Amino acid sequence: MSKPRKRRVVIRLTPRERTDAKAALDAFRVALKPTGVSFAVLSREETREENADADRRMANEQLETAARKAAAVVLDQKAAELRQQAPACTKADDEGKATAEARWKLLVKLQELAAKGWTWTVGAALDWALKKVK
Amino acid sequence: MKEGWTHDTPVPPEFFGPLWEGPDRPDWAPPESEAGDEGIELTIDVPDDATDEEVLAAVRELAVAADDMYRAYGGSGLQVADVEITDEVTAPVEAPR
Repeated sequence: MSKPRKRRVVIRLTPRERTDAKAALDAFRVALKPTGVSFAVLSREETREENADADRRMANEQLETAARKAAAVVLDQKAAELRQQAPACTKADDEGKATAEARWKLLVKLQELAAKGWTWTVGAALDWALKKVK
Repeated sequence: MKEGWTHDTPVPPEFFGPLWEGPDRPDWAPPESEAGDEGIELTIDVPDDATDEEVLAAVRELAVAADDMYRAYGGSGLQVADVEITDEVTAPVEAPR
């Protein structure tokens, strides 16, 4: 009996501004609703599983560190670049073009992963006390 | 104006800060959100033959795509709270008879 192994990668993103906390969830719910992508509410306990194999655990932890850094660097760079741009960039999205494009981009990325046999879930984690994370 | 706004510049409600502060806050006001209490969680289950580079690329691309969408809807951008990678053993491929 063979058991194929998988790695579960959980990326948790929070708003840069404290006042955006609820907006983050609402934006995603609104954006994903017409697409058929479900938006799950998840708890930390559901996503944490113990690794029995010490080598695997170490490899996963190293990859975790690299992934955390990679995502943080790319988002921080983007935020810094946008801060330097003119206020015109934050002009109202009257035609909904920017939201439609951004939604499409995320869906295409998710579809690419699905085509490779990767499964995914988009959701909200409401129990996020970071002190619980390691 | 020091922010460089014009009459067409959209101003998010967050700019004005909390509606009520301190003792002026009425009993019926909804509770305020705490930073980190709410956020977006993207979970991907990756086959074991996926390389670390593929995983890193997916994490980067998903984070940017999520940030784009969040900003497009008026948010101030997302940041990484955590990335967690664990093993998941799936159901057996061949069941013994």
